[in-house]
Amino acid sequence: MALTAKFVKTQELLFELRVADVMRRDVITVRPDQTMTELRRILRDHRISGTPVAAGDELVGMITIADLIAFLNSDEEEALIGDKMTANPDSLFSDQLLVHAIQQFDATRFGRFPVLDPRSRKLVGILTKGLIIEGMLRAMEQAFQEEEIRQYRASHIFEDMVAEYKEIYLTYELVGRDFDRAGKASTQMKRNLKRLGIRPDIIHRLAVASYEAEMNTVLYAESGVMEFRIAPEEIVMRLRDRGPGIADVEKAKQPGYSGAPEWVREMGFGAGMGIPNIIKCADRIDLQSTVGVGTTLSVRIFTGAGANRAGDEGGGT
Amino acid sequence: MTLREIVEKLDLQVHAGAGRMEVTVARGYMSDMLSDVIGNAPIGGLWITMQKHKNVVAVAVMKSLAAIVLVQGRVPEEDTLRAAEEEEVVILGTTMSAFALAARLHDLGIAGD
Amino acid sequence: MTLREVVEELSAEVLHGAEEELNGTVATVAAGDLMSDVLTRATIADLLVTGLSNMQTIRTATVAGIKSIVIVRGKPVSPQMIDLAREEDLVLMVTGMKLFEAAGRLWARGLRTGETRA
Repeated sequence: MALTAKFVKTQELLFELRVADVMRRDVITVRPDQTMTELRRILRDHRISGTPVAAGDELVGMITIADLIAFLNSDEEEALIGDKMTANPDSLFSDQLLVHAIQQFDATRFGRFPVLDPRSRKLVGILTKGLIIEGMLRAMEQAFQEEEIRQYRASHIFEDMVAEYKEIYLTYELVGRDFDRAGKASTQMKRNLKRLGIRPDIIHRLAVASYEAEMNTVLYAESGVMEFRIAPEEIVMRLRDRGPGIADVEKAKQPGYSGAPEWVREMGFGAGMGIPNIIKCADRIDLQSTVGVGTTLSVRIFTGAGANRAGDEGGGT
Repeated sequence: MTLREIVEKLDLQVHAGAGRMEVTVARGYMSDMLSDVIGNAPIGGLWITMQKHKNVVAVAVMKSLAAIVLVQGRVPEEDTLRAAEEEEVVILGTTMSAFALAARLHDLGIAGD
Repeated sequence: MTLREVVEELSAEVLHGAEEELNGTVATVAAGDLMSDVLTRATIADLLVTGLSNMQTIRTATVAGIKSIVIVRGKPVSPQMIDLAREEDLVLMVTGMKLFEAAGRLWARGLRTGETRA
């Protein structure tokens, strides 16, 4: 399996897995009324470098080996954990997507986050980068042969995930004339973009463009690959298909032009609105076609601060 | 109600068949699927559609439709117009949506079934 | 009007949709069989009324952000369509009425179309 396929799979897992799937549930906790001397023993015995501070099952703080070292270097003989901990620490919710947790690790540079139940706000687990990597590997094992996992350097997964988060790729394979699945790629893509928190009007434009393009491929071509690159400033969709191609690309961009046979019209498509719809939704499009070979369509939508709101310049729908 | 009355009341455009406005219409049909229209539209009815390619004329002839109404400001393609004139089919137009047009016709007493 | 009132007005059968979802209200309609037309509407309609009954009907609604669908003419709805409606959390119903009649009745109850961009 190609390396790119692995990256794609890794990214899909980021959307599928939630914090609860990979966190450690049997959390070692300390109480705020325990001493720093006790903390030293607990960290050493469990070989951990930090731990949540809890009163009952209520999270009240985080304390780490850095706090312990600072204490040991001070003149104090003894102190309570409650006085040295970081109170009201950042936390994650167990139902958050892993992709969001990774973003938080990256943004804060913390090594661990306590995990709370979203409803009761009680401490239910802890998440570290190591646990994310373990969880990802476990999930990937179901998708890949063990051999391939060995080839993939596990130590780099986290860095890859962080780096890739800034530019996420989603890839879908399309099969010509498979009408039961036609549109599935676009709806899945839409769901993933929602989870990423992309602005709804941008998702709407992309989903419409993507769906029309996907239908064109399923209706007319043998197969195709649809790729989405989601970067901070723009989203680019590229669809390459193998098929008959379009004889007159400029004409195909005109509303009402359609070479669709009747059966396509009966599917609710083929009224010559597909490519014009795509153009309406896009900030930039590029359509290249070779008769007898296939068509490549690129659609670019700007997502940065200056991006069109729906309705501007005839942009969104 | 005659086509002329409908055209006047709803401010419809006449694309083809201006000389055939005295036909009486009692029923309407709204669909964009030709096979559905062939199968289910009432004979002599008024057909509301988005479809503007030439095949609509053949369907109108087959079902002896009183008129085709293109909605949302869609205009017939050239060969559609040519075929309509040859086959003496009336093609009307409106900027209204199909939904709104069907509703207004319904209000005027044009029946669905 | 509420979706429950739509069900009553059109004598429709609900194929998917929980009780509380039927309490939701609808104000705007996209009606027609051309999915590209539905996709290009400037406003997101609350209700799709169509004679097209296939997987594309459900996917179009999903992509366009439309939350409820009425299939007209009593067209058969496949179990896969109902599964997909469940997966996408859409209300799906079918009526024996034709599109023309359904449009007339919904209009009389105050439903309107959003403007189209075309």
